[in-house]
Amino acid sequence: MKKKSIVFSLSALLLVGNLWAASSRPAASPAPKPAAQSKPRPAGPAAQKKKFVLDVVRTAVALPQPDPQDRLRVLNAAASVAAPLAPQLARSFAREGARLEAELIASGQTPAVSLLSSGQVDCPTAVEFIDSIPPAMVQRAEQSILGAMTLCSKQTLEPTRRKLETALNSGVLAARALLAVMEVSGVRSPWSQTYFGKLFSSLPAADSDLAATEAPNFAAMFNRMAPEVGKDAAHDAGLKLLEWLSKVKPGGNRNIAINLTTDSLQQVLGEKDYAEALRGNPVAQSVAQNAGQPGEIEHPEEENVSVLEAMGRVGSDQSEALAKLPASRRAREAAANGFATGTGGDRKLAERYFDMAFSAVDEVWAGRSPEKDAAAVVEEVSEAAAQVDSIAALQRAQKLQDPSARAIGMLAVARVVVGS
Amino acid sequence: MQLFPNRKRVAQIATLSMVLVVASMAFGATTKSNIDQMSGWQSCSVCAGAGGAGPSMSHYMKQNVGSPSMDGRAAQFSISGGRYANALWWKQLGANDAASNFVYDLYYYIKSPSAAQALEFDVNQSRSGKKYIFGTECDFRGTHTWHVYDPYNRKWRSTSIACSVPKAYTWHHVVLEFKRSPSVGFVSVTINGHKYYFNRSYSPRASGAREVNVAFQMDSNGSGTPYTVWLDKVKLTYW
Repeated sequence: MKKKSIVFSLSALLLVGNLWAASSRPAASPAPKPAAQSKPRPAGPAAQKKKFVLDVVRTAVALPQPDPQDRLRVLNAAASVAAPLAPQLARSFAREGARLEAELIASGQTPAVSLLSSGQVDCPTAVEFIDSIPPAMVQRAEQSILGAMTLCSKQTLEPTRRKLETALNSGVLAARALLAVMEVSGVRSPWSQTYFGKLFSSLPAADSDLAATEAPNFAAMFNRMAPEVGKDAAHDAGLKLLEWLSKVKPGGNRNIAINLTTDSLQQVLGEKDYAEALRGNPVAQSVAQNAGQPGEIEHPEEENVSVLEAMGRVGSDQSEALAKLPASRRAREAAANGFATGTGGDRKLAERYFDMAFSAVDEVWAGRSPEKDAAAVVEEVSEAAAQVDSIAALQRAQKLQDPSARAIGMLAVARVVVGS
Repeated sequence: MQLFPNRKRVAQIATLSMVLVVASMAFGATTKSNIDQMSGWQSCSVCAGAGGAGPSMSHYMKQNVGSPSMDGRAAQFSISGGRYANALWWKQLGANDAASNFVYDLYYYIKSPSAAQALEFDVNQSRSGKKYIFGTECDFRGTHTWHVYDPYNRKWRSTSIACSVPKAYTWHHVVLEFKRSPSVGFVSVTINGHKYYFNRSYSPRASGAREVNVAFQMDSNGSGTPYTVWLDKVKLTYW
């Protein structure tokens, strides 16, 4: 699409949007005519684009998002889209998002996205955020804490250290956040040395799924700190960790944790002392015998579709094959095919693919679960459609059944327009 | 209660997905896996700067690192001693003139993202007198967006794809799709399962070389804070 016609279409859409908005409110009296001597200059394409994007952002943020996790997603996307065009507006979204993120954590939930990790939050907000986290929730807040520390390490170091201390003293561990504080404080600082020992004396129940997920993080902490804490402390912590690993569910995470721990302990103690240490602890010895098994960090499964493959299929109608796929995959595959076909020039077939993709998005959203990232599907589909025709994509996003999905889709379209 | 109501359907879907993939992924796709564990990586710092004449900085790479790692054998890259300086590492994979589709798939891990100005992930193909630089850069500090490289004009072009400071102490999965068509086509980037479309293409530049390689670059911030990045399961598929 040519630049001129994009701007024209955007203006046209704005008009449609305004009419749509006007239909839901009482008719206003005609606006007074502007004074004849000050003829306003028509806005240039950049100004029109900015206006369009910010209107879409404001409309999306104003839609109801009853689920706070969805509200957080919308604020996160809105802050990111608005940042280059209206930094103050972006900061206001980020502040609201950071407050909501803290509330979600306080209520025992893990935030779906983190404003603190997005870089849009200022340091006073980051410090306020750290202060507001209940110590019992530091594990759920770990990613947000790391985000705050990355953003403002000087300002957040002390409050984070105090928070993690209180948490650890009551048996709640956030290994990655602790290691981050140790590295910023200095790995040989008295605080780091003390809390290294405390951590391995307070390992959580080993038979949970969380323990299996966290096992490589505890092993990484041991690997980093063992050479810095002295042989005795490393000996005690290493054996405690191996004992704990003996009860962790088998799998790649456990294998990699065992391999790391045994390697590190062996290096710090030396061959002879390592062998002797294991001889004195049959449980640790039995776990250490499993060292060397192939291990791999378990990563959440990703439903990745190949756009290149879709581009290779241009010319043959895939509708029938796509219709048989489960909703989430159908949405993504149809969007990739729509993108490939639309940018290849066949708008009509692309429209059919996008109809299919957006319809599948509604299905995905209706049947969503915490394990399935439905928001990512909405974004991916809306974005692919916007690459072909941003106006049509916005209209499709606005027709999504759920207002939260609608907002997420609209923001994805706005983002593409920013970069167009 | 039917215990396995969808077994047949699952099989059908799996078959269908395979058909969709095989139909276009062409026969003879080449996959180079665990590139991070291969020998023969090369590096430079001066060549990584603007116009190939940037400031020099200390940099090193260490392979087969146990922690952090995804598979027990990550590659560790470190830089220090330069403000707004860069270090580039690349691994030649042999020439392939026919390949026109590239998928660069890797995991990276960073402990102190605030020290990084940007991270760059590239695939380069040189053939028939042209160099196709599929250069991408996650600009954490400046625009907070992904950039793609315009080889002919030798300029980075900003996209609106957000690239905020990456989460610390976490593995991040990045999959980049590129197409030579015959321009340098940037198709998509998928970050931890979230796909974004680049939809950009630029002209290649002249080159007498014949090669396919992957590259990784680290840029330092204005304070020259040293930092380290680990890469694991680095894979390039091309056909």
